[in-house]
Amino acid sequence: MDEVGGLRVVDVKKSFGGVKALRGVSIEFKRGFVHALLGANGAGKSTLISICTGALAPDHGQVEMDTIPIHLPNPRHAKQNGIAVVHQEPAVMPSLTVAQNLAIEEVGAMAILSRLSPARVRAIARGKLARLGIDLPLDTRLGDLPVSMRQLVEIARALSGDPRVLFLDEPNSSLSHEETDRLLRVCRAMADGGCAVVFVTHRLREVFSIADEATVLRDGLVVWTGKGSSVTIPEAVSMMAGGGTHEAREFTTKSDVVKPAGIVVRVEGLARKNQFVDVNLEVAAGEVLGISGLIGSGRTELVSAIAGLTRPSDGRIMFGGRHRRSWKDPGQAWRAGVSMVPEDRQHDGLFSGMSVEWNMMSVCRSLGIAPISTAAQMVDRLGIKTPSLSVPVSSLSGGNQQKVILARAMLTGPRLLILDEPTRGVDVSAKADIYALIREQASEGCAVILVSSELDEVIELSDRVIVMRQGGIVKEFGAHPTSSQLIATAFGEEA
Amino acid sequence: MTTLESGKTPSRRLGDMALRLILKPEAGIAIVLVILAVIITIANPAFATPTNLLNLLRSVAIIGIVSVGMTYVMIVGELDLSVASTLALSAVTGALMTQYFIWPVAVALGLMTGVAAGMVNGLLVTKTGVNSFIITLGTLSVFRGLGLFESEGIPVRGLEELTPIGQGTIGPVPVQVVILLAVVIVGQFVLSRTSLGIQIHAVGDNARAARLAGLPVARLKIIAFALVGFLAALAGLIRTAQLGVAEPNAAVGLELQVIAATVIGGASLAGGKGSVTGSLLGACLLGVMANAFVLLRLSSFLQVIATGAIIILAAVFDRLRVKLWSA
Repeated sequence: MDEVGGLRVVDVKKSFGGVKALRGVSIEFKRGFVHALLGANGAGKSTLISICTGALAPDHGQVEMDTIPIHLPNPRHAKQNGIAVVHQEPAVMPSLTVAQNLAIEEVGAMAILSRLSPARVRAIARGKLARLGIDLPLDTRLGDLPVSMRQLVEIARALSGDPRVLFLDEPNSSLSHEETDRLLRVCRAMADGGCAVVFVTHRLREVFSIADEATVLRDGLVVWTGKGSSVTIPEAVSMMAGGGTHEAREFTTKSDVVKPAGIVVRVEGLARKNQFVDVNLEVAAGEVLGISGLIGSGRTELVSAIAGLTRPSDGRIMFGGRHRRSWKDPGQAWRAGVSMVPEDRQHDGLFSGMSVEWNMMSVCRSLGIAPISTAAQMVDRLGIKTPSLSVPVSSLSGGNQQKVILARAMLTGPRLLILDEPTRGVDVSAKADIYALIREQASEGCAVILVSSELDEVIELSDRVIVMRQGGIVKEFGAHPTSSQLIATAFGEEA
Repeated sequence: MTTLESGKTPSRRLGDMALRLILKPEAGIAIVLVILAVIITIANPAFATPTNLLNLLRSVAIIGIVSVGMTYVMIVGELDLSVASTLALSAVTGALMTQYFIWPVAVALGLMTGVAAGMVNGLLVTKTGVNSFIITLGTLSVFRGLGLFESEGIPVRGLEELTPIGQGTIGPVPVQVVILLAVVIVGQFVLSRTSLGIQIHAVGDNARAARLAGLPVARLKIIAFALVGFLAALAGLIRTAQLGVAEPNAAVGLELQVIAATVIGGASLAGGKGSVTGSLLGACLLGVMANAFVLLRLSSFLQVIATGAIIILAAVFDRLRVKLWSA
């Protein structure tokens, strides 16, 4: 083994409330190499980066820097160890100027009342930008600039400390081609200067153009690691998708139940600024429409508009025989028979301090909808494990909380059920229950829209699958597409 | 999807910059102040006399000085409701200390009382994580009670040596106005031209990013609270010098006027925004209003209503400005 040093993770495991995000990952990020970290949504990339940069502590395993085990209790500590990170969501201060944002670490290190002329701040900032070879308007408030500039500021800050290891988590998701090219060149130069560069991106072609090494993660495990040149993009895609494992399916969905006569919802030319464009789709009664695509492809934004949480800027929604430009408010959609199970149940779903019963009945009661059954019946039907109906919903496990949210949606007797990541952070048995429930709803004639990052879930449950990329529908598949097809389409690498 | 290169021409940029300058909160209030002054002068020429204007500034001094400190606290993302109580407590303590020490020491002890009160607020807020609104609502009562307790509720004589500060003038300008201007100039300088100023802005703007950048977030908040405590004590001593007596019941309700001045001046309860000069202009606007109601012989009850309306207008204007910026 050649001793180049770098960052090594050894048998790292991490779970979130029973859900295993990393199941024993060992990777070496060598100094002097650009390492592409690949994987579909939920493969464990972000968790791994958080552990390597001190934002999360591993449950098991360790991190070694130049073969010496290091303990990273917080991000600051990681930084002192020469580990820098460019976050997907830039951590910047929008009402400060570009120059102040760039210089903030130096400013923080100064004596508290040091005189600091704007010229000096600008000089520090310029020094950092020079390295990237870019020019930004230094005196403009950062919040007034487009997101790409914020990302450049974050990148410039990360590069400036001469890091030994540099993690870039989707650094170019909002950069132009020119800016991306420059970033890739800088990464190359950093690596040549002895830094270990770890690159996460969904734009495979770019990363393959500079990666020396690559690792593919799937379901919290390393499925492949090796030289970047020894794998082709289609091969990488099929490894990310885990091709071949889903051939045997126990369930087949009933796609023969209904067709056009039973269209429940039709969306025509729907668009919302900077989120999605010109979306056309329809869902029939008893049909499950799966929506696949990467995070940020506009999936959540689209279903939020269909459910009346946001107003689309263009297009129309046909539901219950009426055409609308948009719903007046979510309540109108609920009353008409559209139920939404949001992606983030903690923020957008549950009233965590209130009881199980209160949560289940919250929509029906506040909107005056007659519930289709009692809360107690729902607890039985969904197999919700709770000591009583009156305990706070926050005392339940994640899976049971999710079932409460599902119960709330079902109690309104929906004709269209919209599920955004319905099994996120849910354990295996609850997952099976939720799948059964979705099928049951469909077989009772409910139209279902299922948004999910879990390919198996989409493939197994959907009668049709549409794939979104960059705010538009790029392809539609019938029942049971392969996971490779979905991944390749989502990444824009379809043959 | 997203357009990355903003296709703005240089001339368009210049236009934007001019628009932004006009839309700066300070400029907005300055314009309102001028318009108001013209209207009042037309209605009653006595407004524009030097005597009246200097008296007006004198009446603004105490609120103005405290709002400089409040600006710091609000920029860092917190709020201090206890400033009026701190003001009275510090003044009473300073006056009482003249019984034991020579007056300069007593003055210093009075000022230190204010700093200590501010630090208590800061420590409670940062160590417990309880919202500063609640913490300082509590210390508002505690500090007021301490002042009443140590003075037994009776106004305290003392610090006659400070009378020139309260009643004297430098040339035609009252001393307290000179102090106000000095505090504003230093306050604005520190805020915009030192490492402390940038750090305070950074913390209020995005505390998470500030922490990731290695800034001592808690310490910066404590500094801001200590500063407003110090300035409240200074204002308390000036008030004592003016009246020749330190009242434990002084300045009840002052915190609302101070917060009003700061908000009118462009500060936001969400933090990250505000300027010292803006707060001064805000205090002046409140002072001009009060003055106008006297000069125009309008009901002082109407003045109470007008003050409230101005606060709401300032906040609404601020929202519109933010929308215009992001558009």
